[in-house]
Amino acid sequence: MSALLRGEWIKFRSVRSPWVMIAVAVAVVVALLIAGIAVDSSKGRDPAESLAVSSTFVIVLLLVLGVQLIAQEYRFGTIRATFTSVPDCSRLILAKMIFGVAVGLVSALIAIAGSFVVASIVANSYGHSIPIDARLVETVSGYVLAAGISVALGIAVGSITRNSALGITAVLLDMFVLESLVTVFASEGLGSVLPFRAAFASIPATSIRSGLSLWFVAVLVYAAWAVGLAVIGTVIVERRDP
Amino acid sequence: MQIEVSGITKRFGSVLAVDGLSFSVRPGAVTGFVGPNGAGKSTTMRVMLALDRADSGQATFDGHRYRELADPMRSVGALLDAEGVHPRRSARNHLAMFAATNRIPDARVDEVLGLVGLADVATRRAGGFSLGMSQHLGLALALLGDPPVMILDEPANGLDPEGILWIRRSMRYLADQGRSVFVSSHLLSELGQVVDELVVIGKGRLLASGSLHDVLGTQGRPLVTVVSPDARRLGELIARTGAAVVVDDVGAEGGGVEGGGAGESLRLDVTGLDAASVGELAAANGIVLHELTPREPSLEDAFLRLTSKTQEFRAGEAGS
Repeated sequence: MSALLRGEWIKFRSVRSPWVMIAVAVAVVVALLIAGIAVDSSKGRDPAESLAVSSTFVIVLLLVLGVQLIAQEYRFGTIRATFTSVPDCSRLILAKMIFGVAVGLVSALIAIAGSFVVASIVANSYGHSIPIDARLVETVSGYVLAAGISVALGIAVGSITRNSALGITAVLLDMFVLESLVTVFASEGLGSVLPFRAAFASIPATSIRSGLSLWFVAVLVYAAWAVGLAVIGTVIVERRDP
Repeated sequence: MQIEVSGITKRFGSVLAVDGLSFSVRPGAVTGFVGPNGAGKSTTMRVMLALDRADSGQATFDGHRYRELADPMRSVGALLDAEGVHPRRSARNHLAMFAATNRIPDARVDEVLGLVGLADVATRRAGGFSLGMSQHLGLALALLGDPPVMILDEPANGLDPEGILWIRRSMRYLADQGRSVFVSSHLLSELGQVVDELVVIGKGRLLASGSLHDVLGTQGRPLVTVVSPDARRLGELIARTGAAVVVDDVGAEGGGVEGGGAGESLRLDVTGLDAASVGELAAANGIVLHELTPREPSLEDAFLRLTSKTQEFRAGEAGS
């Protein structure tokens, strides 16, 4: 598996587009968090809420990154060479998922840690400090885990659609239309276990509410969606000829 | 490493692409894989490499299916689609990412780039490569694991004459090292100069296989070109022996001669009678010859005869 992960790392680092997406995600987290913590904390705003403000944008961006990590291989035809080098599809998709989780986790950690450092400096210049409490720790933990799972879920969706535009459209439709419709017209309980409701429930300070009251249960539900879709993707990849 | 293809059948919907195909590829030989367009060559190669799932049958490499090979690039090198490259990725990184997955040292990447003549452009984006350069990069990928088996689908595509010569020499060199080289190509004259064995297919079925000599010998009868001012009479005499005669490429074959009039110097293409017999026949009948040239049966001749009934489509006849 380490050999496959190294291959994925070289694929990732050797083109510019994933770096641009990561940079944009990090920049959004940093900018909103610094603005929220450094400026608004003087007005008594919760730093966890400042962090949660960026979550929708970052989760969408990381999902798109995940879709691209596999769909680009189909687009440029490198998937055939990939499958001749690693004919076991399940190992390949597992490696991509593990790598995707790592990319999401590390990106979110760097973004949050960096922005807290800068925000602390700015807050100190206003003469106050950033309050660190249990809610902030839970929000950071949920945010980082949701970020990692988002990239993996994007990869799972990409393995099913094999097409960037189709994969991204499916993700956005589900996130902004389908899940809202299910929640409104079906049941709140069912809506709360849908993937993106679960993703936002993983971040306690987010304004999007879900029936999942415990953030770590929401993380598990979101991860289960990623794993389930990856299993479907693997079966489809095994049956379809690349 | 011996390749055994046993009873492979592959259907795409209602189209039967490969139909119970079986053949062997032995080490130390270049085996050509030929057939008309749509005969199932690429599908067969993809099935061999586990890229397509066969409906029945299997391909094995020393008894192991491709999927069972540990680090398969170290056992089988494949060139299927040379243009399958991310345009913004450098040639070096393109190879390095596949080398990593099969535990091939980074040093080998630079080695193969040097072998295929791409060392100077190793850090350039592959999107800017010509078709020929992409083909070289594809070959570098096939060579990356220093494998005992090479499967090459149309490796000369897009190459200039120097590149074609280089490919030909490379295949010979690899086979002489004891590797199994399995190559498809539509450049039959090029293939004829390098292959030791041939597998000929049509409509997904095996038409012939064996050594080049055997395939040419059984399918290509002796060919002789004759030029004579009394071509019509000579042609009729030759036809009486049962040999086939074509006058200026427009005459009827066998049993008679058409085209041209008596006294004109015409060319006859004779099949089924050797040059000595044609010369003796002409001398015995006092016919003057301007040219008498024995021709070796070519791969094109054998190919056309073998596949003439299996082509799903073909270009219109010249002049028709």
